[in-house]
Amino acid sequence: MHHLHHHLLLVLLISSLSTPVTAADKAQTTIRFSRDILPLLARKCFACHGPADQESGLALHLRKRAIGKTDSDHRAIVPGHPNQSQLLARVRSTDPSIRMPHDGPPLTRDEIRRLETWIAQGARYEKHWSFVPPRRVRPPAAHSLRNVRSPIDRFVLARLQPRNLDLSPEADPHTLVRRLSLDLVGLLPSRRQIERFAANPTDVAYEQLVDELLASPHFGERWGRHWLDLARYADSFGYERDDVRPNAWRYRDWVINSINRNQPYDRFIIEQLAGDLLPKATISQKLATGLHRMNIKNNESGINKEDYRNRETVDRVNTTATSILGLTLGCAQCHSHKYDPIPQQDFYAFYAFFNNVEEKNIDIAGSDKDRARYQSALADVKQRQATLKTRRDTIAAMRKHADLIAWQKSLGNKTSNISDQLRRLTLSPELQDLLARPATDFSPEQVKIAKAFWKTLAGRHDDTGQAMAQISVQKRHLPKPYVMTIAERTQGRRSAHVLLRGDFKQKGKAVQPATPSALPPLSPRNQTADRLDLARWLVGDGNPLSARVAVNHAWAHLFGRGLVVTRDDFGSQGEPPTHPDLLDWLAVEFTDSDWDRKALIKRIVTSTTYRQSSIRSTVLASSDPDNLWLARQSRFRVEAEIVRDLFLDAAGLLHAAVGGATIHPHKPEGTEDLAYKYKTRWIVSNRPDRYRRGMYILFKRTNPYPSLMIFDSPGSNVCLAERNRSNTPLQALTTLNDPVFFECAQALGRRLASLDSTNDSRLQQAALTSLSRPLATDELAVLRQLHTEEVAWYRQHPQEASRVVGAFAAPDTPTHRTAAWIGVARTLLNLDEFLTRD
Amino acid sequence: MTTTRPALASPEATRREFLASSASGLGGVALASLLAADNPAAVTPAHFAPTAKRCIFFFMAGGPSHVDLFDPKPILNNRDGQKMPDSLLGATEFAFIKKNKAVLKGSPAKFRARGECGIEYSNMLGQIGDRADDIALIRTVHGEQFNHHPGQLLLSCGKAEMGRPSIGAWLTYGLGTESDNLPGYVVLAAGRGASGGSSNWTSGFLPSTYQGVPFRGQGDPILYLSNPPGIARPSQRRTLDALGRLNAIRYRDVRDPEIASRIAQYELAFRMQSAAPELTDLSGETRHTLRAYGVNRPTPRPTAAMQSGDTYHRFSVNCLLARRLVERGVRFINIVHASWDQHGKLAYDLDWNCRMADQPIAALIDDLKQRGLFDETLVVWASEFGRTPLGQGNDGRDHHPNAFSVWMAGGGVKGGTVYGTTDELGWAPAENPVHVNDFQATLLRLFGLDHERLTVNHRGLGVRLTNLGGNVIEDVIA
Repeated sequence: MHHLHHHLLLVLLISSLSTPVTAADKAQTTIRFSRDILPLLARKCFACHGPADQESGLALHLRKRAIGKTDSDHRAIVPGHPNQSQLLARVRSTDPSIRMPHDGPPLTRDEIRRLETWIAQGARYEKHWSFVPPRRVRPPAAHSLRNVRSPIDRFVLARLQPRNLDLSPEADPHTLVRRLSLDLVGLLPSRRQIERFAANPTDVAYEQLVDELLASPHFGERWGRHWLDLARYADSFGYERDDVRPNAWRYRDWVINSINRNQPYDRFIIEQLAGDLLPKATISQKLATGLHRMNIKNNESGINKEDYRNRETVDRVNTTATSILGLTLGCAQCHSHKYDPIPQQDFYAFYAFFNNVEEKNIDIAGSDKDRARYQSALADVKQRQATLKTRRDTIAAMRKHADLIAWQKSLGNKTSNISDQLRRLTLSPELQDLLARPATDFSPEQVKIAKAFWKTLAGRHDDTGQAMAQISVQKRHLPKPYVMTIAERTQGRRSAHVLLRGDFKQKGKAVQPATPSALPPLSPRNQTADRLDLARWLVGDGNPLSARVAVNHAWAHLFGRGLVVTRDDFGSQGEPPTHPDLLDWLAVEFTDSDWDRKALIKRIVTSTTYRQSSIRSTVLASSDPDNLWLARQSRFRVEAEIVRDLFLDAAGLLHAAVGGATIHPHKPEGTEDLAYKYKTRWIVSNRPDRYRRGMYILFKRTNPYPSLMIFDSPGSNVCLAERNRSNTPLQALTTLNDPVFFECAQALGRRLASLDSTNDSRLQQAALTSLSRPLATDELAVLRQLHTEEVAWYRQHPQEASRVVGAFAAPDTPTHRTAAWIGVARTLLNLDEFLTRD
Repeated sequence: MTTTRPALASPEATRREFLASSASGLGGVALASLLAADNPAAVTPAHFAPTAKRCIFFFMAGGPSHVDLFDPKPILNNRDGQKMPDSLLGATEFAFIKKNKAVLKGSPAKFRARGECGIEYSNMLGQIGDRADDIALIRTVHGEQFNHHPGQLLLSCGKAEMGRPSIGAWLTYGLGTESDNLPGYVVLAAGRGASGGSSNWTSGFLPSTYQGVPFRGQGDPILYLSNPPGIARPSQRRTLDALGRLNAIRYRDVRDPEIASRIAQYELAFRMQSAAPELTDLSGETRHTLRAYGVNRPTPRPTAAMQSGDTYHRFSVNCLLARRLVERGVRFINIVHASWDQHGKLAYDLDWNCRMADQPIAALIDDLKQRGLFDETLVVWASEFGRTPLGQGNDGRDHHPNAFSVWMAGGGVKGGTVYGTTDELGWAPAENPVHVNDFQATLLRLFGLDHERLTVNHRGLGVRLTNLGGNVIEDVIA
């Protein structure tokens, strides 16, 4: 016993030196399976000795199997006796033929010691942390130099204090206003908002500002767009043809509206997954199911339809699991999950919920006028199609008429005029009569008619095909008055099977709809569970994942990083939470508040933790460069759409209408060349809608809007839980030179040139508009110098000046002065700080 | 996302070292130069000694017919119009052919032995065939996707799934780029694009730093390369200087290394603004070179099915640009050409395509050799699938992923090689099958990368280009 204690102490000592993460947490004197052992086993052992494979008869994911005998009659784990456990003998060995893992680096000393301690303590197993429902945790006591406002701060401080860290001071008021505005609505704060709060930066004023922003219709745009990443929202089908999806934006608007009216998150989910199955489903609830029409769909000719239906169903499963449960169910599509307790059967039981999804287009045109216009256009097209079809059938009938052909040959080429009646090539009674008898019986008058008819036929045949093709193209491009939703197949229902190796042709055992066996069971309304049962279960009381996943997403959008860093993976391959108690507290608060999204966000943004400065002190830069422990706020570049929005906003060009049809702003010539033959008709808008927010730009999957992609907009082909944030030269070229962005510099430059004040005051106003703060002396000096140089340059280069100014001449201002202000504006709008949320 | 670039420390670690060793308050330019090492595209060492350093990848989308171009099957002409054995038809799926009507189709091409190695190539690609001694031809490549876009994803990204990085992204991620003023991964498209569009050069879940940058046939060679109207280069420089100074002040105040990186990216953009036009300016090329590549050739009239704005001139220019990009250290050049989907009018359209491609590709090989670049430059011809030995209609062939041909040259490839044999009809591999993932593993190996070690942790899985497969074909490596 004495020996063991000594050993334990050593473990702690060494781990405190090598891994600051575990060392600093004093409370964690005992090894916890789910935090310290399971991730290790999962990463290093489960590939061969886990849920999917049990080489040599060893399975380490179940305690019963792990402490039992293996094929070689050894025991991998003997609880309480590390030195009798083969597992330790194998990981400690230096003989490569014995050492485990076979194909990979040996375990570190710390990892081996963790295993020793855990076995010595009895090798207890427990469920993976995220599969255990969140508990309400009492916020710990906390000491800080800062103003501790919220339980959130206490949880954060509890992790900072053992590391001898404290929260950073509060960010200055200008930064706070801008941060809140960017985070909550994705637009620049107004001058009124900045000045009001800067003059009176109290908690009350802060809260007022938060409430004001949460009530803004732009809040739904900002947070709706976050959800649309998960929903793989796009305006086209994807794959080869990539046709534009009719009215996909109606689903996008549903999301914006739902978030704006603060629909509780559980209902937000239920309606999207199973709105069609709700009793007396409203149009809006059906519209919500557009979520599962957002998957990519292959309209290429010559595909196997069942193959792609299967792929779409798999995508619906994966999207549902990733977005709501934070699980990578997709790994179990072809084989049992190697790391998480998700057998292949579970995947297909989940799949069974979506196996009878039918694509259903429901008629909810924008307006009666739209619908009428569509119907008359469609009737017209159908009429023309029918006429052509008759013509084509006639031709076919005539060609087949052997007698006529023989007769035609006998006539040779002596033909006469074509009558008007024949030009139309419909089967007149006269012609029908002709076709019914042998040509030899024709009267001279009938011979004349037939000859003329034949000539017309010979000349027209090819036209028919081409005209038909043209019409079907026109039909495809008619504005559609319907919206794509899903419904449940009622007739000819499909049974679900395990698909061996994920191959749709290899059906294995039949499965019934069921939720993953490692999670709490579902109680269906009827004998067989359906999609509505699933939806309710996902956000139901016992579900351990959905609230955690939702609050983690919210946190990530407000701090640039989730409490669980792997936002799409709460399984054993994901990272454990940095602040498990805080995560649970937020999750419980969230469900207890009836899944109130705005309340959750307000709770987070009013905390002292959120209000910290994002400056990295030298200490923090070295002790916590990734800001895991939240001793400061984070600083990150805004998303692709928001880059555009901020430019338009600073320029005063933004057309701030919320929702509605997609837009076609300026796009460089020739960008269609890279797409396939089914090109989008991109008719650049010259209406004010070209200045709408980035999220409204038509998103075509195989040929997306260039500047969005340059700033890491998602490809929208699969559910995406976290965007990249790259920093590339193409981004610099875009904001410097793209005409859309340059126009913003021109507009801002004109405004500055038009102001009636001193140069310094104009520079200050420009800074307030773009950076939401006044300039410091050294910054002012740099801009003053730039302005002076620009004025001098454009005075000497009047032609350049007038080209720079273009259509943005300021009244009563010399062109070279306006051009100089445009140069200054362009510089401000390209600052790192302008694109960054501090 | 955790990334494991081979060998070297992560960019984040490099930044940290820098931060630890430097005081605050640096001037803009000094900061930018200090942080050049911070570039995520900086060169990193490979797993093994590489033979190839750069790649010119001809992506012939649509599915060029292997039995008419690379894999002679005289029996098709002998049995033209006859049914094929049910045993072969078996479980095969076609996009368009109806099985009960399927008959074999003879080839309009003439094959003959070429070079010292005596490997047979079609007269349709006679000039490429005449370089047989430089080429390793693989005749048994196969995949399982028989529709275009999924097949293209398999070829470009290793699996018929959206969201994964393309080959060029993996290479620039794994090795960085050697060019200081051009992107490491460039896409040159001629005529109509491939049906996979940008998913063929995507960086997938890797940062967009690694995505292919399409060079354009009209306007600026790179999007937004030119300054806006009236902004002369000195004005642009003044803007960059002011930006550098203001960003440096901000860096001093908030100490976010991302700011330093932003300064460096703006400077790189500025250099690209002069490097890219210089790249596309062909006035320094000799008349002999231009003629060899076929620049300014007239384009014969294409059939209706092919009308797409393709010109022979454009394809020739792209081949020449590829050499110029290679000279400037660009890592991966993807030349995309998509009109190889001959469901009908095969005799005319295939010949039309081959006339476009044959001369400039042969000229490119010669040019690279003459300039001493060939040994370090891998040239690849690949497609998402081949075409059926069966006819479709009077004069077409359907999609055929069971067996098709891919060739590689230069960059440490064993020239004058043919690898793999298909059965007598060209239907399926008879010996030495090569899955698309095997081909990809081999390509990475030529660059000194172990396809099983070049992985990125994505959603809990170590994702790699070769998905779950991949065996290096040692026989095609010199």
